[in-house]
Amino acid sequence: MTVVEQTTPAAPAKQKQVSQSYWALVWWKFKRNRIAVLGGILLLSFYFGFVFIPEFLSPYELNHTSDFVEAPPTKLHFIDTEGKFHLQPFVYGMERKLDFKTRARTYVEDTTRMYPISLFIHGDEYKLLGFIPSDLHLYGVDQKANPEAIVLIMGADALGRDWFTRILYGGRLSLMIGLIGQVMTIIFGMTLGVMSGYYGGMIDQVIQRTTEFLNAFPDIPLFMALAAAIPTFWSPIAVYFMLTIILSFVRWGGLARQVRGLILSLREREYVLAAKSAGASDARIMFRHLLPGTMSHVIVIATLAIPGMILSETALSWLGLGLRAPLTSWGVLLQDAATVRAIHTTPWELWTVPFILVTILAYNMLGDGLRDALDPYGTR
Amino acid sequence: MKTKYTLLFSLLVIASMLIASCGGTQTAAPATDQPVEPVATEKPVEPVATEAVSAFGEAPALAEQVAAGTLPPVEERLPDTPVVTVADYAEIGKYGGTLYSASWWPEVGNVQLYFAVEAPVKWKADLTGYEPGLVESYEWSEDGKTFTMHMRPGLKWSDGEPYTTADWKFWWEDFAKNPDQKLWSIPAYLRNADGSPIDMEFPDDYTIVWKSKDRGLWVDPYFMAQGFWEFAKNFMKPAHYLKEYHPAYTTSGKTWEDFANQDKWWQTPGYPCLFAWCLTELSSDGQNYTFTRNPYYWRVDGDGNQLPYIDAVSVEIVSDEQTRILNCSQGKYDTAFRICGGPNEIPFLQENAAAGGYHFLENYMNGAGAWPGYMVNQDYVEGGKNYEDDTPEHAKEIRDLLRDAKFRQALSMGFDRQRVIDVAWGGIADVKNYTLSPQSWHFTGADGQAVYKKWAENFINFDADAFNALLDEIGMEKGADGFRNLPSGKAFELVIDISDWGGSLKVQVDASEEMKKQWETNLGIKVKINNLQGQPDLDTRTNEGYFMLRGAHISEIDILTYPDWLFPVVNRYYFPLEGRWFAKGGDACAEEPTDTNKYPCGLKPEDGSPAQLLQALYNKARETSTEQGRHEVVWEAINIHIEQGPFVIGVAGDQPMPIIVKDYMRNILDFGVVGPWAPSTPGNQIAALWWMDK
Repeated sequence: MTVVEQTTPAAPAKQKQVSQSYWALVWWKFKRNRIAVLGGILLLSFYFGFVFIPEFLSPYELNHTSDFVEAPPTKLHFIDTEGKFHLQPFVYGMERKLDFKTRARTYVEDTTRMYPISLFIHGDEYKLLGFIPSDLHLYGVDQKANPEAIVLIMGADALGRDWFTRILYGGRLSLMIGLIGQVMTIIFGMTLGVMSGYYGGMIDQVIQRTTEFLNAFPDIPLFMALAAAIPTFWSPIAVYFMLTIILSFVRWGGLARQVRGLILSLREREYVLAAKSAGASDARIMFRHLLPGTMSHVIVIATLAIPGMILSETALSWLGLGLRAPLTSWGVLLQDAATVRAIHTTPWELWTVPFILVTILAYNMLGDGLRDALDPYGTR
Repeated sequence: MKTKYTLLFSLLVIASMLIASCGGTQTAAPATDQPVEPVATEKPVEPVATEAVSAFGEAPALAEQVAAGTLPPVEERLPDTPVVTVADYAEIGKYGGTLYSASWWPEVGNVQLYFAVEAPVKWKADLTGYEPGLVESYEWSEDGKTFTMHMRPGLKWSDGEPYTTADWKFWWEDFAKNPDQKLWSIPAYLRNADGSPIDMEFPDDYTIVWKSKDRGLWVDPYFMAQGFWEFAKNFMKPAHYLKEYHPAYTTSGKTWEDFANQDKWWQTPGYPCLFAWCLTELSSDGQNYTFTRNPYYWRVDGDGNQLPYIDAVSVEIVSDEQTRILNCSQGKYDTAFRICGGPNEIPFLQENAAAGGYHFLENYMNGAGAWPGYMVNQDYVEGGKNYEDDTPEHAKEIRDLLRDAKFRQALSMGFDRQRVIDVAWGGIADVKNYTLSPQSWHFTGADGQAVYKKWAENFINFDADAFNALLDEIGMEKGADGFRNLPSGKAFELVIDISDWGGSLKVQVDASEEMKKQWETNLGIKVKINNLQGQPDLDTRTNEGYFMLRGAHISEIDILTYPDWLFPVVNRYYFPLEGRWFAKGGDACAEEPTDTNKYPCGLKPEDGSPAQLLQALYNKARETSTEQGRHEVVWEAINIHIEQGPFVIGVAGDQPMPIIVKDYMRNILDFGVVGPWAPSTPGNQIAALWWMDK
C-alpha cells in the first residue's frame, strides 16, 4: 500500500508509460474482476433508477389506487384468442369475482377487451427530481383512452396499487437512508479514529472510553425512545432520517477502533517522519498522509456495512419501528408480505425480496472486488 | 360350564345396559366395550351395580380415586342440589380427552373465557340477558338499593372446602377494603354515589347482601358477568387457601407481594377454583398450562353425570399470530376462538379445513358495530404536538371544529364505504355507520331494531354536494394548495392515529390510507396518518385528548356495564376529558394541574352539550328498575348520537369470524359474538358440556 517507494527508478524513455498512479492500478485490477464490475453496474443502475427516476420507470404514480384490489400480476400476451400474433404485447381487461361463501376474490381475464402496452406513454403526472414536470412513463397502457385498463406486472396491493411501482419508490427510501446514515458513520469514525491513533495519550483515552460508553447503548430501545420523543408534525421520513443520524452518532465506535489500529502502525512509517521533518501540520499529516493509507480498509468496511444499514431499516420497519406504513420502503413492503395470508393469497408481494437480495449481493460483490483491487500489488 | 358363563355374561350385559340407559352410570360405553372373556365380567360389572344406587355418574378417573378412598363419593362432592344442565343443542356426552388450544399472553384470557366466566351472575347462552350461575338466585329490593344473592349450599372449592360467605367476607373485609393493600381498588360499581364503598353484609353462610345508601344497584351486579376479569380475577378468593399469604393472618411472615404472587388462580397450580377445570400444571418455561377437571364441579348433565366431560384443557402460549394461523390450518387446536386471525383469514383456513379435520362455526360473528371506525375526539386539547403552533388557542379552534356536528357529518358522508370494504375486507362486510354490536340486547324487539337501523344508516349516503355544502357552511375555505383551511384561515391537517385495534394492523393501515385518499379528493381536507403501532404514546394520545381521529374497533352487547362507547363517563375514547371529569367525581375533584398533566380533573361538559346529556342519561339508566326501562334510556342516548353525532365515523361492521373446531367436537353451540370480550363467548354457553367423539 505504500505507493511511492515501489515505483522503479531509472529506465528513462519508457518509464512514463509504465508508471501509473495508484488509483489507475486499482482501476485496472478492479476492471479485471468481472463479478465486482457487475456488482458496481447493478448498484449504479439501482441507485440511478430507484433514487432519481422511479417516477419514469413505473407505469403509475405511487398513490394511484385502482379497483383491482389484490389483483394478481397481469399476463402479457403476444397471441390473441384467434391465434393472431401481435408484435406489440397487450393485456386483457380483468373482471373481479367474489365468492361470498369462501370470501375468496378472483380475477378473470375478459378476452373481448384488449389493451396494447406501449413504451414511453403519457400517464400520471409527476415532477422528475422534484422540479421537472412530466407525465412520461417507460411503459404502460393508455390511461386516457382506456381508463379501465391496467397493467400490473407484479400484481397489486390491497388498495389496488401497482406493486412494481411501490417497489421502485420504496427503493428510493431504503437505498438513500442506508447510504446517508453510513456516510455519517464513516465520517465520524474516520476522523475520531485518526485523531485517537495519531495523538495517543489522553485524547486516545477519552475517545476510546467514549466509544465503549456509546457501544453500551442498545439500538432498539434507543430507537423506540427517540421515536416517541420526536413531535408528530414531523413527517415520518424526517423522523426516520433524524433517527439514522442519531444512530450514526452512536455507531461510529467500531470503525473508529479499526482506523485507530491502522493509524498506530502507519504513524511509525518513514514518510510520516519525513512529513514531520518537512514541517507539515498535524492536520495535514493525519488527513493527507495517514488517512489515505486506511482508505482501502474503510471502503471495504463501508460497502459491506451499507447492506447492514438497508437490512436494519428493513428489520426495524418489520418490527414496526423505523419506517412505518403509509410510507413505502422495502422494509414496509416486506412487512406486508410477511403473513400467512399474503403468501397464500397475494404471493406476488414477495417480489420485494429479490430486489433486496440483489442489492445486498451487489454491494457484497463490489466490496469484495474493491478489497482485492485496493491492493493492486497483491497476487490475487 | 361354558354356556352357563355365557348366559351369566349376557344377563349382566343386559342389566348394565338397562342401568346405563336409566341414567345411573357414566355412559353406555362400558357395557358395549365389555371384553368377551368371562373372567373379566364379574369385577367390572360389580361397581356398576353398586353405583346404580347413586343417582350421579362421574368420570372413570374420579371413580377410581373414590374406589381407592382418596376422594369422597360423587354425591358428597356435588352441592346439595346439583345444577342440572341441559341445553337444546347438547346431547349426553362421553367422558375423556384433553382439549388443546392456544393463547398469546400469560393470562391466557381467551381460554379463560371458555370456563372462568361462571360468576354468580352469568350471561345467557343466547346473549339476551343474564341468569344466576354460581349462586342459586338473586333479587333486588323495591328501591334497588339492596341486592341479595343466595349461594348454593354444599358447593365446594376444587380442593373440597365449602364455598360460603366466609370467602366473600375474607375478600371484602380483609382484602378489598383493607387500606394496606394496593393491589386492587374497589371499582365504581361497588361504590355509593358519594364515592365510598357500598356495604356488604353476610347474614348467614349462604346469603350475601349488597347495600348502597344512596343509589340503586340495578345494573351493578351485572358487572360480575363481564369476562373473566371481574369475578374470577377479583372476587374469587378462597379464604382457607389465601389466608396463609395474607399479612394479617400469615404464620410465616408473608407480605402483600407474596399475596399478589400467589393470588393468580390461572398461574398458581393448585389454587382452588370453582370452575369446571382448575390449573394443575404450569410448565417451568411458562409456555404450557394444564387445567384439569375439578372433581367438585357443581353441574351435572341431564342423566346426572357430573360435568365436565373433557378431562383437561391444555393451553400453549404462541405469541406470534402467523404461527397460530398455521397451527389452526393444520388442525392442531381442538377449539380455536379468537386465535386464528380475523375475517380475512377465512379463505385460507377454509381451504385447509378438510385436511386439518376441522370445520367452521359459521354463526360466530365479530359483533363489530364499527370495524374500522374513526373516533372523533370531542375534547381535543393542546399537548399532542400535531403541529408546530401547539397552543391552547389553536387547540380550541380545532376542538370547536371537531365538536361541530356538520364537520363530522361531512366526514361521515365524504367517502365511499363499499370501496373501503373492498380494500380492507376483501369486499365482504356490512356498509353501516358506527353502532353497538348488532347482537346487543338493547336491540331486541321491534323497537330496538328500529333504533339500531336508524343509527346504522345515519349519514352513510355518499353525497358529494351535501358534504361540500356543509363544509362551506362552516367556513372552511380552500387555500392555495387546494386543501380546506380552518374557519379562521389557518392551515388544517387532520391527523388520524392508527394501531392494530380490533386485532389487525393491516386492516387499519389499508382502510386509513383509503380514507386519506377519499377525504383528500372528495372533501379537500388534508389528512395525515400517524401509525402508532408499538409506540409508547399510543394510549396517552387518546386518554389525554391529543388525538384528532383514531382508528378503532367498536363492539359491545351491554352498554351499561361497559358504558365507554355511548356514555362519556370514563377517561377513554372520544370524550376522554369530559369522561374523566365524570369519573373523578365532577366538581368534587380538586387535583391541581401540573405541566405534564394539564387536565387532571378533565373538562366539565358545557350546558346542553351532548356529553352533559349523555352523562345525565347514564345516571338515569342506573336508577331505572326494569330491563325494558333501561333499554329505553339507552335508546334515548342513541338518539343523541343520531341527532348530534356522529361521534365516530363508522365504516363497516359485523364481519364473520374464523372460529374453528375439530370435527369430533360435540355440544358446541354455533352462535357467539367474539368481538366484545365482556359477554365471554364461548363461556356464555357451558363449555363443561363439550365432549370429544373420538
